[in-house]
Amino acid sequence: MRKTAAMLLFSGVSTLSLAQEKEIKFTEYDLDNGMHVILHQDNSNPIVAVSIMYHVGSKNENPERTGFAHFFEHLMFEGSQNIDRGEFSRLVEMNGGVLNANTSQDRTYYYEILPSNQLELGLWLESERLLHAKVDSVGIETQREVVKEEKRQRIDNQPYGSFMAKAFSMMFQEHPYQWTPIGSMEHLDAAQEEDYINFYKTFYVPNNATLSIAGDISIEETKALIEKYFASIPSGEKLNAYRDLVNLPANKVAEKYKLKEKKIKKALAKTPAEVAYKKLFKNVSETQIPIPQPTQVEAPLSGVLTDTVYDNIQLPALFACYRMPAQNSPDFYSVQMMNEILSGGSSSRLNKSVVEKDQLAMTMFSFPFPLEHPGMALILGIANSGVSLDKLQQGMDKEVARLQTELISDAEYEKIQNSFESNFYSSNSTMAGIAEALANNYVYFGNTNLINNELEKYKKVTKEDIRQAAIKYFTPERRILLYYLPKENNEEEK
Amino acid sequence: MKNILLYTFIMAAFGLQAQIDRSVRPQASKAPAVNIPDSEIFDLDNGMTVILSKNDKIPRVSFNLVMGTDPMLEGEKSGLADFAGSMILSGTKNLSKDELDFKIDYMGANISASSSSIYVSGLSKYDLDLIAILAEIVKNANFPESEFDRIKKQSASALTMTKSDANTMASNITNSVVFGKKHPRGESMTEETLEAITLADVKNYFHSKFTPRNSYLVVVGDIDAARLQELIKNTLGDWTGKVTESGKYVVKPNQKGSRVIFGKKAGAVQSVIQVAIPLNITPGHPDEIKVKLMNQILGGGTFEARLMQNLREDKAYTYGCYSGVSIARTGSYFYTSGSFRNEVTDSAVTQILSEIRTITENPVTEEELQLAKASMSGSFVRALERPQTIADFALSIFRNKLDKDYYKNYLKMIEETTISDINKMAESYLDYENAYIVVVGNEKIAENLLPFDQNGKIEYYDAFGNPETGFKKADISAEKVIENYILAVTQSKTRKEAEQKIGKIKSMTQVMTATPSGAPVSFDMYTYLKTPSSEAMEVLFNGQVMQRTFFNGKAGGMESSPMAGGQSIEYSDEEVAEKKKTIGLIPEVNYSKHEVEFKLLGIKKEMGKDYYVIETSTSNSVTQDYYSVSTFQKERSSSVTTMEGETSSSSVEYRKFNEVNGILFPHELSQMAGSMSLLVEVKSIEINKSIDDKKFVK
Repeated sequence: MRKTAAMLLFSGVSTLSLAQEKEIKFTEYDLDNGMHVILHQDNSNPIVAVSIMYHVGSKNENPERTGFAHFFEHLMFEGSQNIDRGEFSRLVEMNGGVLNANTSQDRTYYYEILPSNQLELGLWLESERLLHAKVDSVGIETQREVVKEEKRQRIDNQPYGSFMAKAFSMMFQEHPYQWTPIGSMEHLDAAQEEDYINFYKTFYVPNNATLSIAGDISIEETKALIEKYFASIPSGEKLNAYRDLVNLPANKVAEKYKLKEKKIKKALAKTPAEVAYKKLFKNVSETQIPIPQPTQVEAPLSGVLTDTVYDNIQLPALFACYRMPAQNSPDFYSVQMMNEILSGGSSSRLNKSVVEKDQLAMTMFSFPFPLEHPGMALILGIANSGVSLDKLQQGMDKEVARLQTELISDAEYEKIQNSFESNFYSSNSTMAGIAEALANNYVYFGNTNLINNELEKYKKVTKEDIRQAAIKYFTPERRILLYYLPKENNEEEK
Repeated sequence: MKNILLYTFIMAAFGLQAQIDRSVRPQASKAPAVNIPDSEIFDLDNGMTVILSKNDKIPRVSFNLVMGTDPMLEGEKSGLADFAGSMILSGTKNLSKDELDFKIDYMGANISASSSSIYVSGLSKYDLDLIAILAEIVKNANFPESEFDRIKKQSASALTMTKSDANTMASNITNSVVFGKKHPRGESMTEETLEAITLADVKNYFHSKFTPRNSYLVVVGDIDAARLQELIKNTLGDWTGKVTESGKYVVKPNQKGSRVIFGKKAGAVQSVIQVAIPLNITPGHPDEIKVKLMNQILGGGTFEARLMQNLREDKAYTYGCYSGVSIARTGSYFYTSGSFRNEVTDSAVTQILSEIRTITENPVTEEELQLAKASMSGSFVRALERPQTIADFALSIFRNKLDKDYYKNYLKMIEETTISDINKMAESYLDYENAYIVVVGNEKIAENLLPFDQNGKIEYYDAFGNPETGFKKADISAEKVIENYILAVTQSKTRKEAEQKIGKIKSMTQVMTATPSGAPVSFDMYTYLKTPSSEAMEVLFNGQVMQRTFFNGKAGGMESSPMAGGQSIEYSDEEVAEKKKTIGLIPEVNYSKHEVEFKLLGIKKEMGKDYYVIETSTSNSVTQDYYSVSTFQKERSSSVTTMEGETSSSSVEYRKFNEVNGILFPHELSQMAGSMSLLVEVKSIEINKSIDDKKFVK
């Protein structure tokens, strides 16, 4: 018996390697107003994930209003024409669901996970958010403070918490990636009513939104509901006109659209705004307005930039940051695979050499930020007690240099292929995960079906591609080095 | 016919162009049925129970091997179990750590181990390799010395990091105060306990804890029972082992009154606040779901919960404020959590306590209850999306000895809970007057929290949940401190001279008046002392003896008048023995003769002055005496006494030292007992005046 187990153990990988293709089926289409819709049906558990991805993030912000996209995301829970302040979350939670949102440099993502018999509720809520968002000064003031607390909790009070803002600000001089989604609190304090209105009108429009739904649904019924709640939303200037009609007093609307105030009042008295606007704004254009995206191209780093940060920490840490290609470039797959060799799992090179063998670091970690425009990857190490950052840096550089000179072994290559396959299945094991992956693939890659053939992309990357990626992107001559050192006690009161 | 046509026409004309009324909120369609599939369960000859939750939606499988015993007390080796857990994956007899790591990563698998479990998951095409590795580890883990050294170093770094991680600090402190240091959950690894752990301890721990007897193998994913049985037979089938002993430990009795415990984090811009209340409840108790619903309304994770609405949405003190209940076999408690900016820390504590009190005093609304029910049911159903959940349910039924349909009835039990149930839960479980208020943050704001503490005193704890001693290392020995004190108090140059002075004193009568703080009245106190070992005290009010204590070297006790309780207590033999040790004008003189054990804790600052602190203890009390570093005079003393499971603390400050017969006596004392304080003034001290021996007996 014992022999059997031992034999199995050393026989390498068992032969039971059946092809396990389990395609994730989906339906996708555009509404006339430009909104993109993706539906995935899975009736095994009675829940549904309803999400909208707006293609707006911190890189779309006015440099004088950094942090605005994320702040706006907070405000988008404040209520709407038909939903009172504070009711948004209550409606979801009352009905057994959860909701949340997040904002990155590139997009803002909202979702609800609901019992599947509440699908229509989710659609209505998201349609209100897109069409009728409404904030008052109490909401703005409250959320401003909440965002400040979020920053204190996630960044200021976290050991090494300032690294991301620091690294991005050094990495980019031209491109708006120079600030991070949390942005500047002074900028948020300075925001005016005009800023809110402009941001909503520019970015919260159907042709900037991807509606992705996954779960216990019927495709046909869901399509009908989407027709009801979203296809009826106008696009272009007509949407703005409708929002003005709802939000502004009649005399202002009259002035702005050169109409008679009486006519507007009469129309509104007879029919609700969502009917009245059609007649009133017959001549207003419904042509979709393109979404402005930043065009700055950042010059390559000129050399090595270093900085030292004294933080409330106990152990020194090193952050090495490198310029990366955009996530939809073919090189990015090579970078990700190289990264997996460096720090994926216990057998990864940084862990084996720097953490376990030389014991220079308590932990090592490397990570390429998946960004729409050329971005950044970082390798970080938290030094073991008593180890200098110079030593740690040498250990780290040695491993990167190895990747630039030698090809990885066949076994390592197979290992990372398996690892991507395994990760693929675990990240697509929930409805929320699938809804988000589908939306991501559409928005960033223009290829929703990537969810089913992404593994092929990794398989195409060769060992030489990985070496080339290491040479091209992880250049010791052009990078940012951030040294984090413990603050001395006597500096604390400053 | 005509009518039908007309009807169709109207539908076509209006139906197509019908405007949606967006102010109408959608109604839910019919509630879908929830199906909780049964797990397959089978026992093995070696004592293992296998739980299989099959799910072939994605081609992955996981194996979780869970030991059947609960944690043990670790004392001076606190953290041993976790240390051992982090060393389990360090290699086996047949596989070095590098080989093991590579094998796992090669399959794209994940593996992790804890103090009582090993978990491995990966693609189901590798199911045999996965379980074979699990079996190899559990049978042949070999704990190499080099890995022991490395993990020790790494743990030391991790402990260092803890000191800048406010959340971990707060959790360590909360566990420590809620469970106490005589319970495994109250223990945390510290730099000292890490140092004490040896490789032999680790091996010992693993071999006694990891045995198939009473263990569970929880299998989830794309595998069927026949194949699983086959795989087990070839891998874990020959694993054998003995029954392990389960932990025995004491659950700390509840405290009386709320305490503020503060952990200092240099430079903090926010305070982590955790308010904890122990709960007397175990998993599967009929109240469990109701308590969870109550918690849901108060702060259980939804935006709508009261803590979130009050502290975030209304006051904007925080990004998030939550509450939770931890209900486990080993002990249970309620807690709130959140981070709050420095300036509003005390206001946040006020609001949190007020929300807790409110829910115990007033009924929740029907709407709140409905929301809590929907939210808890919703999260239950969402969790079912993970096949792991089904297996976790089966495991919990075993480990917590629940009814086999417990989880099938879960939604029904939620639905049946009423408003009055919630009231009852809050009232009987949330003992908010005896809460632990744990705050980790900037020291500058600590004093703002004084009003929340029953005794008006902030206790400082370190990052690992131990009281901060605040002691600096002393430059002299304990004996030297005592020696210098004796010389100082007797104003002598040598020990001989001191003993001569003391020897001349045969008796002492001391008259004092005592005034309780804030009270308009005062009473008189007399103390009597007579060599060799008699001692008595009387408390008089309006000339009447209210209370007296007496001791004649052989027996003693306490009496009070009917007005003051009418008690009469005699000292036990033990108390008599201890009394003998500490009697006398200056007990320190007799420390060595009476074999009193004393130790010097170090130098501590109190009210801006440095003191040597000497600790002595008896079977039920611990006393710390404070001797001034500059004059060696004894200026303070504090003691903690435990009687029948309840602890009480008292302290005394000695002031206004005046000479009587060559000896310095304090002429003013400030006493604190619990929350009571007394100011005692000495009116007269008479030496060698005759005292009636009746004073020293009953």
